[in-house]
Parts: sequence; structure tokens; C-alpha cells
Amino acid sequence: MHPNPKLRLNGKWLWPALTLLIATSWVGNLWYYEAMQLEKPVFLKHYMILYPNLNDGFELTYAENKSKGKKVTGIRIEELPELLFRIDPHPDTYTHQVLGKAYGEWRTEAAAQVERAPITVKEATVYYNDGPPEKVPIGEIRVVWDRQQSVLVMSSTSGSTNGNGQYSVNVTQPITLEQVDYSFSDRLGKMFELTMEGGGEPGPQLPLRMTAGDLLTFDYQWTVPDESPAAYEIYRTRILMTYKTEDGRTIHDRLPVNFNLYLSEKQMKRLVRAGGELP
Amino acid sequence: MNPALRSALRRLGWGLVFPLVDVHIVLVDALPDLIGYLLIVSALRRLGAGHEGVKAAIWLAVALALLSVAQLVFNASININQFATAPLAIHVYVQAAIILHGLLAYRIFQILYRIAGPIAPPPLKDAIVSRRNYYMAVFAAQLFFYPFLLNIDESWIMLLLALQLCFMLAEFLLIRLPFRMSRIRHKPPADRGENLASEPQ
Repeated sequence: MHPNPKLRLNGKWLWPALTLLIATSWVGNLWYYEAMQLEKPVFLKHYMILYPNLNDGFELTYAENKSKGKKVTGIRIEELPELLFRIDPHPDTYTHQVLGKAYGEWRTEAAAQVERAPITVKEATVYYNDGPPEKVPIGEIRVVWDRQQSVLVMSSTSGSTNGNGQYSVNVTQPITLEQVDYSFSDRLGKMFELTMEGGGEPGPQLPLRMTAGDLLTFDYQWTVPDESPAAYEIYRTRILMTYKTEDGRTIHDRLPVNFNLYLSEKQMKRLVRAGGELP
Repeated sequence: MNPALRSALRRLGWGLVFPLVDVHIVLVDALPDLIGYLLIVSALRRLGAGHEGVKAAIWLAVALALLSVAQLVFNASININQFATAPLAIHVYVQAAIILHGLLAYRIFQILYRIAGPIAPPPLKDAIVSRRNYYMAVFAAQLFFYPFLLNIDESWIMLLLALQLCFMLAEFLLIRLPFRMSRIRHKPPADRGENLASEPQ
């Protein structure tokens, strides 16, 4: 006898059940897909201090949907017509979104020569592939025209992905270091810690006299909690130093500080669920 | 087994090979699905006499042949990385083709089982049933998981590729059946003489 003569797939409920299961899969996945779309591209908040005289390029970061909806095609900052933006393919990819980068470059001949009063930019005009351009908040970008000559020479830098790093500079002529600070110190609070070592001792008293060949070392540590709104902020802070040279000039100098934005899939999802609204 | 049945079974087998194998030389599919489905239609018409359900199978194969005409004009395969970017029409097309193909495969299993009834040894009949069950399970799983491609990231793609491989295997096991059946020697010795006489070709 044939052991398995049954040829009908068991029961009359099987086909409807399968059809229902597959339909549920479609409905559920389409619903989730729609829920995970941004209404329009979202610019992260940038807190930056820029020096056009140093040809100080930078990037603006935004999140946009991978496939559906508006895409950023161009950016312009009205107060800074000499700034050109290049929209680049998206380096970071999430399931439904990408992080786009807009690289800002100064048209050198226009930017490097001028002296202007510092300005603060809070909005950019964003052009989309679809619909009219819009002004969107991008945080706070301070632009400072400054042609002072530094007497410091970078000696070594190091940085790591967990947010700490070090800069060492050599003093090329005798100076008196009067003040050390960093930009956005009021905003940054506990998220950024800076320690200094100069003249061979940590945390020296200011003013500090230094001679040619002395080493000045800065250690910094970023601690941005994943859960905080600040996790969606991009900082380009600078170590700001004020020192006097022997011939009596006062120089306001600055050193860059490295900052890495890392947004996890989870953080990106939270941004989307919040409707792209950043606090 | 009469030679007409034998050649119809082989034709059915070859017809099933075409949609399975997707070898694109430059832009042209070396084994166009259209030809495959037309071979299946022709084979089913020959197998048709007296078997219920053959008519439905023929209609399914005709529908698939018509659908595959579109493939001659444009590339209907979806790159897994561009899944969400692909227009909805492509998804509908791909799903419709998969569903129709699965239903056709189910009908073919049933027809093969009926043909096998009086002539095939029990292990072969068992193989038809178990292969059909395996095929339908993988087919259902594939339909169920397909929409998840909208929402999963790269780390899940291996799982889906594994499922795809299971489906290829199921398809391969189905294709082997008509060829195996076409090699059945007749048990009733009375038939032997007649059968041998018509053996060449």
C-alpha cells in the first residue's frame, strides 16, 4: 500500500490561512515602511566656528529618506555668498535613511582676502529636487575673519573614536599665555572636557611664560550621552588662546578640535519617530 | 509508457528549466522564460487528456508566458540593495509571476502524481508528495518574507539568500520528476514488446 496517498494539502483552512498570513506580512511591512519615512530632509544642528581666512572647509549633515520623498539638491547661505556647497553621495546608510553631507568650500580669492565683522548664521536655504527652496535651521555657525599670524606650530595630534584626543603645539618664540578657553563652552557644559599641560606641569597657573621650544599640550574628552538631544548635534569647537608676544602684540589663537558624529540605527529611528523634530 | 507521454514529460521538464535558469548574456536571457512556459503549455496539452486540473495549469502557464513577454523588453529582476527604490509596479509584477509560477508548480505536481498513479513505483510517488510539500512550504515562506525586504538591513540578507537557495532546490527537485518518470519501464510484461518497438525516438 502506498504510505502517503493524501494529495490534498490538509484542510480547507490552509489556503485562506496562508493567503491571510502573506497579506498580513505585506500590510504590516508597508505600514512600518511608511512610518519610518521622514516627511522631508532634516538638518542636524551644527555648532561651528569658522575662519574663512584659513580656507576653513566644513560640512553640513542632514538625514533624508533612502528612496521616498524630497532630496536635498543644493544649499546656500544668504549671508555668505562666497560659500559654495557640494552635495555628496551619502556615506552613512541606515535601513530607511541616509546621512547626507554638504561640503562647504570658500571661494578662496573672495574669502581669504576680506576682513569683515564676525557674523553668526542660523539658517540655510535648502533646495530640493521637488518643490520650492526653504529656509531651515542649521544650528549656529559663527564666522570670524581673522588674519593673525600664529606663533604656535602643531607638533602632534591624536584622536580616537571614543571621543578623546590630544594636541601638542610648539611655541616658536617667547610668549605669555594669558587665557585659554574653547568656543561654545556655555553650550557644551559637561560634554566637553579640556585639560592643559604647559611648561612641564598639568593645569598650570595663568599667565604662563613660555620660551621658544616649549611644548603646550591639550587633552580633550567628548562625552555625549546617546539618549540626549545633543547626540544629534555636531560641534566644531576650537581651543581659544590669548597670548602676548615679546614685542607686545596680543594674539588670539585657536586650535581645531576633532569631533566625530556617530548616529546608531536606533538613534536614527528615534529621530524619525519624533517626526524629524530635534529639540 | 507510450512515447508520446514520454516526450511530453521530457518537454515539461525542459520547459521548467527555462524559468529557473537566468543566464543573462549581455542583456539577453540565454534561456528565455517565454520559451519555457510555451514548452510547458505544449507539454500540458499532450498530457491533458483525462486529467482534471490540466486546464487550469495550461491557463496559468499561458498567463506566465504573457507576463514573461515583458521580460524580453526590460529587466524585471530587482537588485536586493535597491529593493525599496524599485517602483511598486515591479514588485507587483515580480510577486504575480512568483505566485502564478508557484500555483503552476502545484498543479504540475498533482498532474504528475495522477500520471504516476498506475505506472510509477511507490518510492517515486512518495517523492512527488514530499517534494510538493517541501516546494509549497518554501514557496509560502518566500511570499511571506518578501515584503520584509522593505524594512530589514543588510544583516538579514543572508537569511533571504538561503531561502532563495531552498527555493532553487525545490524547483530543481520538481524538474527532476518528469525526467525520472519518463524513464519508467513498464511493469506489465505484455506492454514490453510494444514499448520496445517504439523505443527509438
